[in-house]
Amino acid sequence: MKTLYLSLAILLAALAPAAQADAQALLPNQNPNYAVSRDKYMGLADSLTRLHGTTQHDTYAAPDWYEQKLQRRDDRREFRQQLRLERARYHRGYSDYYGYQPYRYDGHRHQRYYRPWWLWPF
Amino acid sequence: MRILVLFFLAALTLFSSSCSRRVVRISPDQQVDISGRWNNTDSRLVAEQMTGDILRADWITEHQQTKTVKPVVIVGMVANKSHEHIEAETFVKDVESSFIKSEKVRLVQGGKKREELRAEKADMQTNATSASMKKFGLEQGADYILQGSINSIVDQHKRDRVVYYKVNLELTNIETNEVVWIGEKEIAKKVTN
Repeated sequence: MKTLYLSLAILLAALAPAAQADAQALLPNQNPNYAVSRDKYMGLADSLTRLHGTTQHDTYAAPDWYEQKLQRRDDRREFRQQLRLERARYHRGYSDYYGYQPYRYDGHRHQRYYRPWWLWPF
Repeated sequence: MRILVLFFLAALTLFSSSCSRRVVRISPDQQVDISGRWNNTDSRLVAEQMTGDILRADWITEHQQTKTVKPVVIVGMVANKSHEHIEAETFVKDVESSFIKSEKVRLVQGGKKREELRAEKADMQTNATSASMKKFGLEQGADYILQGSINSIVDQHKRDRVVYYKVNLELTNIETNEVVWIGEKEIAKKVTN
């Protein structure tokens, strides 16, 4: 029991100057709980300051008539290309959609190049 | 034969002129609006407004009255919340440059550049001579942090489009969180397609 009291006394004696120093370090009007926040941000400082001097992009998509027009044109070209590929496959008797159909009649539209009626005289 | 040569030359001229790209050097101060998007003229206008405002504002004199030394500033992050990719460094660098040239404000490095400096200092601890080795713990602490944001509003009806940009830069006292200066620049454009 005597040794326990002695150990406690030594521990308190060791901690007392540190506590006193902390109390002395507190500036006028400084929050006494400042150490809670300090300890929290000491661990986060590196990751939070890494982006200093940079731009963080958090952009949104705004409508643009010209961009939409270009997009529609690209979509249309892509669709036509797919359609041409599909017709070429169909002409050979196979389609991803319909499978093997060699005898289906579609008014000559299955041909690789379908000549419109207004070009028939030329 | 002569006709054939003439035809060949005409075809060559037409082909060479249609396939070549033409580049003309222009002054960075010249206003050239092509697409209506954010461009170098916008960046320059923001830089001119901000550098003028920040150096004329009262925060420098107020700081020197209380601390008797030049204020030290670090550049923080700029949030681009607009609809376009806008690199804030293009105008923030002009603000930094104005600090250095005016000799009224001191500037310290932050972010990745600061990490690079610390890494160089760490390298010196084992490779540099004792006389030239730079010590840790002697960095200049900043008094203020410069942060900012870029916002935009887009209004469009059919082929007409009005784009409004608002760029804000603000200077905050790091110790007290007090905002000592806010600079803003508004830019509006009407684009007809």
